[in-house]
This record gives sequence, C-alpha cells and structure tokens, in this order.
Amino acid sequence: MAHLIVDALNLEDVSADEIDPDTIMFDDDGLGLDSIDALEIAVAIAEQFDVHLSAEDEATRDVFATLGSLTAHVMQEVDARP
Amino acid sequence: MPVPDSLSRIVEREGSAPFAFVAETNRTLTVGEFAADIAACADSLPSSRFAINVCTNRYRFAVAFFAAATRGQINLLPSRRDAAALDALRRDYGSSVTLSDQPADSGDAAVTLTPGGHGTAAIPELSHAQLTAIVFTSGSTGAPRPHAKTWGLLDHFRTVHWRYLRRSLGVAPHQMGLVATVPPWHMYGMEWSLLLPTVAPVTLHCGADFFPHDVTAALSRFDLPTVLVATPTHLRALLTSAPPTKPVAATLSATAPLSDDLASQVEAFAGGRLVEIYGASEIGSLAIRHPLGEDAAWRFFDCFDVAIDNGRLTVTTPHLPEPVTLQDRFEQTAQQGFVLRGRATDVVKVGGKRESLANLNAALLAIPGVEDGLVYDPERVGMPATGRLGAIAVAPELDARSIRAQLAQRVDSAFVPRTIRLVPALPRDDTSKLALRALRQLLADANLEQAE
Repeated sequence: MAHLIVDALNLEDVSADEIDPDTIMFDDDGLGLDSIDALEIAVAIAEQFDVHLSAEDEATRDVFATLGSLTAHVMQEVDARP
Repeated sequence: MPVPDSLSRIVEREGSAPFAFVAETNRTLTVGEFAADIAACADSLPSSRFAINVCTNRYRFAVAFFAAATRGQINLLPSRRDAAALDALRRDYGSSVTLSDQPADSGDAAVTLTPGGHGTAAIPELSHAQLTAIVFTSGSTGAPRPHAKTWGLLDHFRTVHWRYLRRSLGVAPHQMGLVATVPPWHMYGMEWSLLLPTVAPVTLHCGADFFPHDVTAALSRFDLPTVLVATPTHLRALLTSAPPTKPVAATLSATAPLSDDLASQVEAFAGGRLVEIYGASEIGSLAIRHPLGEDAAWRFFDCFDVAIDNGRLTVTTPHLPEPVTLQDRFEQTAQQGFVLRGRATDVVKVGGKRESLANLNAALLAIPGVEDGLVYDPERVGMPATGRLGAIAVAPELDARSIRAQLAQRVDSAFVPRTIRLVPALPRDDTSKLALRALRQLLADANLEQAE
C-alpha cells in the first residue's frame, strides 16, 4: 500500500519504507497530502484492488487517516468478497 | 446597470418545484422546504457582520449561505479551512461568526438542522446592492485575496449561465438532476451547483460526491436527465469507474484546460454534451465552449464587454467596479470566438487554484536556511507534467522534507512542491536571472543524481 501511494502521488523524496503506518497522511505535519491526492489514491486502489472508496460513507474520513487504517480497510473489503 | 434598490428572490422558481436531493435523508426537498430551512437557520444565527461559512455538506452550505444573507451578513468563503487560516480570517474581519455543520468549538454557530424538517416557507428576497459573499484566492505570503460578490452580480450571472447551458443542451429537459464534484465555496462550484438550481429546473444532489464511485452512483440515482459539474482532475478519475447507468445530458468542466483526448473519452463515457467553462475567481464564469463541437472556440458570455490587446483580454461588466485583465493569453478567431494561448504571466495553476511563481518563490526564499531557490512548473521546463510543482533550492542546513513542511505553513497545500531538489548553487547569470536552459540542465543533473 505504501508503494501504491508513493507511485500514485509521485512522492519522490519519500520512500515507501519510510512511511510509518501511523503517519497522518492529510496533515501538514504528516505527509501533507490534500484532496487531489485522496482522489489519486482512490483511483489507484480501484485499479489495483477493485475496491471503491466512498466519501458518503462516514467511515471514509477515518479510513484515510493513516496508511495503516487505509490498508486495513482495503484488505477487509478484499477479504469480504465471496 | 441594476437599480440600486432592486430585489430578486433567492430562488426564482415555484415553491413546489424540486430543489435538492439530500442523500442523508434520501429525500427530495422542494424550493419551499429549502426556504423554510433557510428561515430556521437564520433565526438561530447570532448577530454579526460577517459569517465564515465552512459547512461541508452542500445542502447545509446552501442553507447557511442564504440564511446569513437574509440576516444581512456577508459570507466569507476561504479556500483554506485549516485552523490557522480561519483564525487569520477572524482577526482580519473582526465581527464574525463561524457557520459550521461540524462545529469544532463553542464559538461556532452550529448548522446541524435536519434538512426539510421545518415545513415550507415563502422565498425571501435580497437586495441587488447587498454584499452577499467574499471569496478568497490564495495570495502572496499566505495572505488570501478577497473578491466581493454582490447579490446583483450573482443574480445576473445565474440567469446568464442558465441561458447558455440551455442553449448547449439544445432542447432543455423539463427537470434535471445535477451532481457536482466541486466545492460550493469556490466560484465555479458556487455558480454551477449552488446558484444554477435557484433559476433552472434542476434538482441539486447533496451527498458526498467526490470519489468516482460516489459520482456515478449519484448520477445513476436520478430518474431524470443529469448534469455533471466537474474538473479535468475529477473527470480523469471518473473514467476509471463504471459509466453511469443513464447517459448524462451535459458534463461541465472548468478550472483547467481539458485536453482533446480527455474530452473525447469523457463524452464517450458520459454521453451527452461536453461543455467547458472558463472563469476567474475575481469575476466568475466568463466564457463557454464545446470542445468537441464544430466550432470549439471560446465564446464570452454576452454580459461582458471584451477588449483584446496584444493577446491580453480585459473584461468589463456593470457589476464590477473596474475592468479586469485576465491572466491568460487569447487569440481571436474570424468568427468572434477566442482560442486560449496559454498563460500570459508567471501564474501557475494547480487543482484549479492560481498562484504566481513570484509569490511562491518569495515564500521559498523566506524560509530560514534557504539561501537561493525557485519553484517551477515541470511541464514548462520540458519535464513530464505531474500536475504538481517542483522546487530547487540551495539550503545546506535543510532537507527537502523540512523545506516542504515550512512551505506548507506559507502557501496553499496545492502549491507545495512535490519534488524538491537541493543543489550547491543555482547557475544565475550576471543579471541574477536563471536561463531556462541552465535550469533544465540543472534539473536533469539533479534528477540523475537522485536516481543513482
């Protein structure tokens, strides 16, 4: 998941191994990502995992908080498939 | 010129007409119910000269916007909504109340009403002379630039927009559904999602319409022809999801040029007509074109007088105190249309926001420890376009990450460079200018080094 984010966003001077699962992503003190990035991440996740994030879902804000929470959510969606 | 004391209703439609579909309650509300919600919200507002409207839900934003207006309050619509930006706004504007649907502190006025929970009411009127809103664009050294909007201007523009959209549609449907991915606190979103349904037979979708899956679900939910109001960024993302179950009557795109390639893909994906809008926050939407039409040139709305001088366009309208010269370069076609020829100034555009490179460079150089440096648009120095900016800096004591963190404090997040290369010196010439060729070489070398 860290690789997907680094690739999707061209985070050149952040390597995937460096992103702590608990780093707040959308915060100037964390990775400093914004809503355009959220869109890019959602597209990358849809393409790679066929999981579609929804902002209508109250939980999405929490899901996007950290790399760890995003990964957990996507894996849960993948596992829930019949 | 509008008569100073002329009035018009907030919604120029029948009280029984459908106005908004509110996703959280799964109900379509009428114009009359919207008016009642506005009245209920207005009653709950404390007295204040300014209302900082930071509601995130589109319906509550609309209710708060007009509630403040009916109380004579001026909506302040910041583009940055972080705590520091809001504090600065409160300091600058003195008497203000913050209208929020997710109140963070006790000083905020809570806009947490139940949509449609207040019966129906008559539609209120506003004076054309009333200052309704101030929208902000990012400015130099972090201070946002205000752009005042009177009700007269908004009222005039909304009728013009609907007239042009109706023409684009050919035969306008009886009633349409509208889904917007753009926030209503930016001019484009305000005009085409919040104001259009106040004059056009349009039901506004009010949900979290952001991710591709949400947008197609919202479009498919309507049992009506639909209009999609989006940006090239959102449209590109949308192409990755399944198309809506019914074709879209019209797709609007603004904030950045739409490539011919993306235009064709979007039209194939959504069906219907693709309509591109050109605008500037200091005025609003200015021109329209049909990228895949026979004549794809820009047509300025007939409410503007347009003068062209050496590629620079100056627009005048009775609703603006003075003429505005646009930051893009245009060329006039034989058929009175205009073709966009790139930006005339050092302005860069990211995520629909404009900023001058001079301001960004000043912000970079203001960081303690940065001795020299500049911000660049990769596309303009012959590198692959990433949609984000890059920077090159001489800062022996700092690393890229700390420079980025410092810049994030000073400029809108959209303009914080993604790539920051540190170099020992910039190859400036005797007039301390940096030749484009020298910059390209420097970046090529720095990128090579990074890759090794």
